[in-house]
Parts: sequence; structure tokens; C-alpha cells
Amino acid sequence: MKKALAVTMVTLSLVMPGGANAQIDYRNLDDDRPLFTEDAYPIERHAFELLLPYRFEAESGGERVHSSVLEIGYGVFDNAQLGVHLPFAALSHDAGTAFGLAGIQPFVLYNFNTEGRWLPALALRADANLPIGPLGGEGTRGTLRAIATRSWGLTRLHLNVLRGFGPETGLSVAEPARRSSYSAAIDRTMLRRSMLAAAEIVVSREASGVPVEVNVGVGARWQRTPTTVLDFGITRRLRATGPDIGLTIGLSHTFALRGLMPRGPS
Amino acid sequence: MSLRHATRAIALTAFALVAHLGVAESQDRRDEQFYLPGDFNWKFLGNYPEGARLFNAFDYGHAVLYERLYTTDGAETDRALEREYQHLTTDLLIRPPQFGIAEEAVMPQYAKLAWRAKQMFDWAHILHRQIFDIYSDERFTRVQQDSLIERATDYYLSRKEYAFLDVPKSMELMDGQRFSQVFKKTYPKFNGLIWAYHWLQVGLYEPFIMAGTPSETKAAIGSTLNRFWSMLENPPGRLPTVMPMTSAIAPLFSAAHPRAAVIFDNLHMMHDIISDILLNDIVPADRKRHEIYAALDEFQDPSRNVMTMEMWRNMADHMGGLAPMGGPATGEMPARPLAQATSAASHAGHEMPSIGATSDSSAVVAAVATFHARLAAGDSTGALAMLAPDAVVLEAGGLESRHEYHQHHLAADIEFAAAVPSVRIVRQVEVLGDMAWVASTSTSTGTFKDRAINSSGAELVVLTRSGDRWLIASIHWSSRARRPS
Repeated sequence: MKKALAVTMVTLSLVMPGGANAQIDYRNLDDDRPLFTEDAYPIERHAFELLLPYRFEAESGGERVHSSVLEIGYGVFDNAQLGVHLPFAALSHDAGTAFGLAGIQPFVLYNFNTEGRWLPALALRADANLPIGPLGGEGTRGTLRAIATRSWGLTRLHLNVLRGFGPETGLSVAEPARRSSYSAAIDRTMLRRSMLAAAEIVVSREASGVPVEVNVGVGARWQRTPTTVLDFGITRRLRATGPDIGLTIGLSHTFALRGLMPRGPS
Repeated sequence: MSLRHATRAIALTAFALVAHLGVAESQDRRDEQFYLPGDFNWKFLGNYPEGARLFNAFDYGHAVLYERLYTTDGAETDRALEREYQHLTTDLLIRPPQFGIAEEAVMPQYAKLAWRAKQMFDWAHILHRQIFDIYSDERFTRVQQDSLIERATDYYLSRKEYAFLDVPKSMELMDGQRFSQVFKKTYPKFNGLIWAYHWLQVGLYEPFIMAGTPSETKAAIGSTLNRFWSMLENPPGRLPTVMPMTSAIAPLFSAAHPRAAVIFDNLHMMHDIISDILLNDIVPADRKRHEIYAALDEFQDPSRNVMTMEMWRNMADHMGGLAPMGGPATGEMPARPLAQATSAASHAGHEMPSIGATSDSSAVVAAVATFHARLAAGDSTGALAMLAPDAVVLEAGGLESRHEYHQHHLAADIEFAAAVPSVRIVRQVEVLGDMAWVASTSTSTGTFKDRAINSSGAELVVLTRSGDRWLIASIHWSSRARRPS
């Protein structure tokens, strides 16, 4: 798996052209890239963002999950982003290994405002979890997430509150739509290195009757070219349930398609 | 629905309501939009990082200025701006960031105050950058570049809510309002630095248009960058004292792309207007946002306070000419450094003709400049061609023949000249028949092999006439490290 990861990362580095976005995408905290908590800002209008991550989790019960949640996002309107997650996962446990698609998850994020003198930046995000694929779970679920971001110079605070809806049995292996979660993350921008360091705490309950998980994580996002960001993070449980260790690494690439851009005035 | 569910539903609804109310009140929308896609993007950074990265430092300079003006008062502002000036000129400009600066993090309070202004500046800076990218893409012919620049300008203008007009606005908006001119009068050094930024941001288009080959472009860009660096010597003496007008600093670019040139002049005027609004106490703190947004409205209104394109083209003449704007970006050097050279020579008791006064002295100076330009361009053959067959080069305590110089020091000199911008000022020129000598001093600032360079240099070049050419018969170089000012 390590070899596959290395090959994937090298390939991605070669395939992705140098140059692109606003050169500060490293400050755009996407969910799971590398932390669960995200910021209140969508990608720019007309921009596409392709995310190619890898994640490994060693669960406290002995299970091992390798997953890659491919994501494509699009700035469809001003301050609105559409996207879809395609999680592929391999689940290893005593009885063997299962692998395959772990559901399909379209989502929409809408940002109401940029941060002002009094109000933080606020956004709402809605996800649908469709039970497609051998590891995609058994029922269609949805989540609604409220997001707030407030900054103090180089430091920002992000608060996420998530609520899940729908059947709570047989959730997706790679991207379970949790019953509820509350998370806070703080990040720090390193301007000259074009890097963001972040830490978070997440309190979540996967389903009714399941113990509450309290996990902490740290991670970083690093601008490698004007259009490409490398991220990496590590997660650890603070209670009996949750990952003994979770590791993630990913690349995101921002681009636009000429045919979808508006024409000029002439 | 359980009580807990109801509570959460209410909380989410309240969240959405607060969000909408906040927006309706005085909150700005974020409204970020992607730039025009194309393979040309980021070619400037890839091919000419010495220029592209400087612009990242400029963005920081603009941002930190507004933040300090907005968040400090009186003597605190004096100290803060002096500190930032030192940081910019001794650190950030010398080691500029590789990628764009997250301005929001540098000016958090200002960004919260006037997000729309920040967005308008960002949008214009993207056009700036894309035009450099297009010029830097060597695959395009000049005709293709011009066409693409016009398309990028169309795309810029298509976003009406954040675009500056391509109609020239009256200078009265910058100089004739109740809050006007306070920043440049109170902080001439910092204001001059900002104008030097603006000079380079538009002036650097000229070497792209003038040069023919990539190596000529590289050398010409180096020359224009050197002029920028020379402005920072002994501030504010050589810094612009008048806002650099694009039509004057970049006449070739302005002729080819007048819409973009006008947009940049409007942008730069708005820069100065905001500095004045933020600094001037005549605009109370709780009215600054209103005043800035009113000025933005004005700059998006094509029906008021506009001037004709003819007036705009001739504006530099009404503003005192090119010299106070920082001089030309390319071509003959401006009068100010040369006037100093004349003065210095006169004090030394020499009867020195002003440079350019005779064709011989001009040709001699041009020969030395060509030698340096070829070094900076990595053109070893061309540089050697400027040396007479029996030339000697004296440096670092040693003497080398032309052949020995070719074998030993030439490659290192080329490497250094390409990596470290150097500002050379001609101090003395003498022509005696078929012999001449040129005395110059220089400052070199940058990074070479991971080592920070900040040095002063002296150069004496002896030339001999060979037919209708001047060849270098001898060069003597010496240098020493400079103390931080």
C-alpha cells in the first residue's frame, strides 16, 4: 500500500501542470483535507477543484481502513460550490478484506458573507450520502453542516456543527454520514512559506446509541505550485472509540474550463 | 420530532437567519471569481521569477500599509510605517515570496472594513499578472499576445461590479478632494515606495515589447529592475514624487493596450485615494468605509469626472514630465543619477562633459552597458566580444588576460550578474582621442548561492577605439559588503 501511495503521489505530481489558482489555495480548508473541520469559504466562481487524497485509519477494534475519497468541486454561482465525493475504500479485519466504492456523496456549500467587522464568515453545507457500492452502506442519508470562520490576522478559528438525517444503520465505511458532530479548528498562516498549520478537536456520534467519539487532529496545507496544494494530517482518538491513528495525505488542483467562462463585453 | 431535534432545527434556522440579516445589514459578499484560464498562466513566474516574485512583495506592501493606516494613529503610525518600510526594503523585497500573499491575513481589519475595495484591487492585479504571463509565453507571436491581452481585458471588464473602468478618470479625484494628498505629504518615503511599485508594475511591460529574443527580454527586464532598485537608494531622493502614469512610463504598452493602461492608472489613483481616506482624520473612523465605497462608485461611473484619452496621454506633461515619476522604464537613463554624477565629478575638479553630450562619450558608456547586459543575459560570447584581444581584468587581487578571464572568472561573473540585481551609476567619463575610461559605482542586492548579497562596488573600465567600435582594454573591479542602513 505504501508503494501504491508513493506511485500515486509521484504520478499526480507529474500529471498536474504547474501554475494556477489564486496561489493561496493553501488557506482553503476543505473537509478532510486534512482535517474534518472546514472553513466557511467556497472555491472561486468558475473554478474546479480536484482532490486526490489517501487516508489510512487503524481503528481501536483492530480494523484497518485504506481509503481515497476523490472529490471534484465547482464554483457554480457566486459564493456557491457544488461537489461530489467518490470514496473508494479497503477494509481489513480478521475475516479478510473488502474493498470497493463506499457510496457517492453530492454536496452543495453556500457562503452567506465574507467576514466583517462583527460577523464571522458563515456558510451552510448540505450533503447526500447515496448507498452505492459494496462499502456504501444501506440507506440514503443526508447531513447539514453550519460553518463559521473568524480571523485574527494570521490566525483563524473555524466552528462546524453537523447534523445527520436518515437511517443510521449500515453507514458508509469511508465517509459515514454521522448523526451529529461539533468541531473547532484553529489554523495559522505562514505567509512566506505559503503554508497553513491547523489543529482541531471533533466531538461526534456516528449513530444513535453509539458512544461519542472525541478525536484530535493536526495537519498542514502547503502550496506547491500556483495551482497545486499538498496536504497531510494525523488524527487520534481521546476516548475508547475512534481511530487509534488516522493518517492522510492529498493533493488538490484548481483549474477552470474555458468553455464555461463568461464572455467579455466586446 | 423530539425536543432535541427541534432545538437543533431551530438553531440551524437561526444560523441561516443571522447570516442573511448580516448580509443585508452591511456585510460584504465574498464574491471571488477565477481568472481567465489558459496555458499562459504563471509563465511570468516560471520564466522571470525575479520580476514576478517582487510583485508578491508589492502586494504585501500595499496590504500592510492599509492595515497600519487603519489601525494606528499619530506617532504610532509613524513608527509602524517606518518599521514596515525597513522590513520591506531590507528583507521582503530582497527575498520575496514565491507565491501570492494572503493579503487578508496581512490586513485583517482593513479587509473586514472594505472587502469590496480589496476585491477590486485583486481583480485588477489578476489582469496585471495575466498580461505579464501572456508576454512571458514565448510560444505566442506578438500579434497573438496582443489579441490575448485584449481578451483578458474583456474578461476583466465583464465583471462590472469589481472592474475599474477603461475610461480615464480625472486626477482631481485623487488630488482635489477634502481628504486628498495627506498621505504623500506626511509619509513621502512610504508614498514614494508605493509609487515605485506602481512604476515597475507598469514599466516592466516595456522590456517585453522592446526586446526581440528571450535572452534580450531577460536582460532588458534586468535593466528595468535595476532602475527600480536604484530608486530605493537613499530614500526618498530617487523615489517618484508624482504618481507614475502608465501612458508616460509604459508608452509602448499604452499605445498597444490603452484600455488596460487606463484601468491600471485608475487602480493606482484609487490606491492613493484610500491611503488618504484611511490616514486623514477629516474622515471619521465610522465613515471611512462609506467614503471608500463612494470613491469606488465614482471609479465605476463612466459619466462623471472623466477625461478624454488625448488628455490622459498628455497628462504626464501637465504633471512635470517623466523624471519625477521615476523616469523611463527602458532606454536612456533619466537625468537625476547622471546629474549627481556630474556634480560629483565637478566637486572633484574635473571638467566632465555630461553623459550623452558627445557622441564619443555616449558610445563609450553604451559599450560598457552592453558588456554588463550581456553578462546578465548569460551571453558569454557576446561579453567576450566586447573585450579587446589584449584586455586585462583585475579583480579579487588578481590579474587575468582575456583568455584567462574566459577560462576562469567569466562564468562566475555571469552567474552572479544573472542572480543578483545590480544598480550601476556612471560617475565619470573621459574620452581622450582613441582612449576612454568610465568610472562607475554600483550596489548589488539579492541572493547568490543561498547567501544574502548586499554590497557596494567600484568599477574602472578603460576602452580603446577599434575602427568604429569601442572595446574594453581593461576592467578593474572592487567591492565591499554594505552595512544595513
